[in-house]
Amino acid sequence: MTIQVPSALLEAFVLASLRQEDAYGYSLTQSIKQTLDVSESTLYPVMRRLETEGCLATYDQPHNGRNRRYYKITEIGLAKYKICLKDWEIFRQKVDKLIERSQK
Amino acid sequence: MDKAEYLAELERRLKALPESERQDALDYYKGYLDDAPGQGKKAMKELGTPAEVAAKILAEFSIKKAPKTDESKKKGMSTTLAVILAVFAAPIGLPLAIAVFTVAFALLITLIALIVSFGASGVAMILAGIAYLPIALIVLIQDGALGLATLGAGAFSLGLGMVFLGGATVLARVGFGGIANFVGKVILKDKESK
Repeated sequence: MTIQVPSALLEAFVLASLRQEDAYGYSLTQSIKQTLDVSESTLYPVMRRLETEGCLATYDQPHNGRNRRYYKITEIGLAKYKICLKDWEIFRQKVDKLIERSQK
Repeated sequence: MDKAEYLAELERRLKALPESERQDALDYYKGYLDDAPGQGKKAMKELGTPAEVAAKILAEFSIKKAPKTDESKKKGMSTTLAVILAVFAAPIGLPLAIAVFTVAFALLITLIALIVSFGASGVAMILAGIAYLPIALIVLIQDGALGLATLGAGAFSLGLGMVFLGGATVLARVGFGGIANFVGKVILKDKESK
């Protein structure tokens, strides 16, 4: 796929994944990689941005003698997720319409 | 490069970030590599070099910081706006300046014409008056009354010529001064308004 995933859509993917279950950096990256062909290093800035916006919260949980940082979605994050879905729907319809018209 | 070296390199690359941002990123990537299987060797390869990882973090941070530099951008914008306005005003300002100088030039030409005509007629009348004098003297010998009348006419012409010449000098003084004032004021006002 040559289309670069826009960062707004990456945010939606992170929110969608965390909506299902809390995750830590590595697991979240791996789960998103299953659907999207993104480089591993692009996800931290996206998550950091969502965290500063209050869409994500973090908590630490002991694991193998160290603390593992987990991310979970907040109420703000859920609201943003819905907005993202709506935006995506509008965008998708526009693209569909364009393709439909070009094929007539 | 092992994990520790990788993270040290990353820390070095993130020097430009505020302490809290840098620490958060380092914590994240330390956790990321700790969670990855096999001492994080494969994960480090997938992430790319520390420089690449740092570049993405720095790019994101500079976007976040952008609104804070907006003020200086606004100042720059006002300068740009002024230049644009000046360019748009030039079609009005330039013709205006040309009009002012054209009017001043027309006034100057008119004035010179007036001065020359007044002066020339003054000089002509003075010369005529002077020319009348010997004639009047000759006529005076033959016919007293006619001679006196001729003398009077000559004197009248001489006097009127002197008045005209005087008028021309006054006109020159006042007129040139006035035009100089007019142009000077317009230019000064223009400079003040700028």
